[in-house]
Amino acid sequence: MVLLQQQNKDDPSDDTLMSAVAEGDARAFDVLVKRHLKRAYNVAYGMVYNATDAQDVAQDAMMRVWMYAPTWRAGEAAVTTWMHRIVVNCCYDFLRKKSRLPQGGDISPDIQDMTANTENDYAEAEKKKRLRAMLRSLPERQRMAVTLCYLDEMSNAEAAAVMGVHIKALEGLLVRARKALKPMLETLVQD
Amino acid sequence: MTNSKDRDEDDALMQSFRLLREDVPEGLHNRIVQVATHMPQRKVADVKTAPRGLTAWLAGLVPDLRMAWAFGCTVVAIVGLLGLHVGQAQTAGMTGADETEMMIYSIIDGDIAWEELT
Repeated sequence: MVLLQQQNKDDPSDDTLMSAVAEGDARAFDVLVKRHLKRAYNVAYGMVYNATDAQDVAQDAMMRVWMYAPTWRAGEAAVTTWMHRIVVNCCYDFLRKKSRLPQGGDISPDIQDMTANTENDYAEAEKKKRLRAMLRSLPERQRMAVTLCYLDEMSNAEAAAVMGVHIKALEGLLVRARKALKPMLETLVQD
Repeated sequence: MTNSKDRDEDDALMQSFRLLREDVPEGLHNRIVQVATHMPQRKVADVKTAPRGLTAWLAGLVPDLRMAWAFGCTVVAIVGLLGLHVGQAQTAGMTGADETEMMIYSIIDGDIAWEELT
């Protein structure tokens, strides 16, 4: 019992952390960010055009988590779902803002992908670049569904809850995305 | 069976997207914590509170009630129109029959027979 309490103290649940964040606990926020930032960043990176934009979106999302923490209620939605919903909304907001900008120059090549040293690194970087281009070729909602289900490995039910759609609608998005991506992925695997 | 096999193959292809997982860039975590914790949090009172208890139940019921009203009104309208139509048809039918009978009785028995009938 004592051990369990100790464990809970060392590794508090998301709910406990969120309750503390809602009361302005910066330390709890630090732990929460450490726990969820990687997933948030990767979802953002799946949706936007480069690492810099993904950082901006992830930062914006985490700031909203801090600001809106008092509005979160335990039992209404899992912390992960709630946070992912914020990330998804930030991605859509970002893409909307970007689409209003004049075209050209705003979709900069990813610096991270160009820092490969060895031949293997180069091949992997090239593969990643192609995968990102494939993702970008999808319409926004299909891209989000693929990002959540395959990059972030969420279950269909979780992804549907995050996107605010019925699970059948999500499955429909995935079917269309798979159909569009299949020939490109087959070429990628063959190469 | 074939569909399921295709689906598995597609899923296997889609697993390639796992390659896109990246580590969080250095400094991002600290930057977020530093910036965010200096921002004011929304107070619960600022936020429109969601209804609870009876209010929530009533709020949930209102759309259902609206649907029920709409459905009820449609049914009543259809039944009414149908009734009107059937009624008119019956009246028309009866009038026709009466006229025929009236004529027949007029021929055979004269007006007295008609009066007895009505």
